[in-house]
Amino acid sequence: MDELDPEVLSRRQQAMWHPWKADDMTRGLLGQLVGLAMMAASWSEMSSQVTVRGELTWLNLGVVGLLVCGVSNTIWLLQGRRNVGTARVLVLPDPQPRNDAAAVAGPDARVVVKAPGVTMYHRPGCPLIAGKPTVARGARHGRVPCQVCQA
Amino acid sequence: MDIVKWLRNQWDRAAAIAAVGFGVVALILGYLGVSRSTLATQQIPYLASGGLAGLFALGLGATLWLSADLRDEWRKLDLIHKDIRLRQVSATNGSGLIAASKPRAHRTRTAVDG
Repeated sequence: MDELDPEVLSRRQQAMWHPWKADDMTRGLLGQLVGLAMMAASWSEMSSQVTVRGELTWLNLGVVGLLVCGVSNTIWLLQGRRNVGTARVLVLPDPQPRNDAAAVAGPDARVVVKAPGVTMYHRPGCPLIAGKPTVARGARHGRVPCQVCQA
Repeated sequence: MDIVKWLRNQWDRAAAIAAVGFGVVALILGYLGVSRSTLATQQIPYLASGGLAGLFALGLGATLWLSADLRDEWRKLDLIHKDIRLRQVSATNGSGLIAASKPRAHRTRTAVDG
């Protein structure tokens, strides 16, 4: 995974002012050109048709060209989103999760943890709250950890 | 707002607005052409020119606008990355280098940047 190497990314970031590589740009441009050519051919050939059937045949080609352009645009945006996401993770790694429960009691299985937006309580090592900010709660009566914790 | 400056800084968003405007106009003209024609053989060419071209322009405009957002995010990350590297270099070389070697503040574009 050469592209995930921070040094490679660093050099690439210095050289590029947009998140797309040359391959992405070529692919996007090619997709647009193919789609546009299909639409142009559709429009051009349709003008010489005199029957509905003949026009619809060439209209289908135009619709396919429009779809090609749409797919090309989607791939372009998804690739850009992916490259930005990769760069964001490398430049701004997620902070270490603040695990109050671990600080209070370590991996004590009797301490349960409540995370904001999470409905159930979890033990400190539960994978369902990995990376999420948590608040330690005492193992009072009525607080039951999730089923993953119990397994 | 200086419109020329805005167009220079936000050329991709300006192109997106132009493409969306063109798409809307093409769709309206296509609709008018179809509605004023009586035969299907006359209506289908309006569908192909106005409809397909309008939809293509709308898609292109949306793509350009979202690409501009991604580019802004990339530039902001680049700015942060350079700042982090500068701080790392200054930390290894000793203090005082930040003020001396601080790069000129360059703005990150925003959607309302004028």
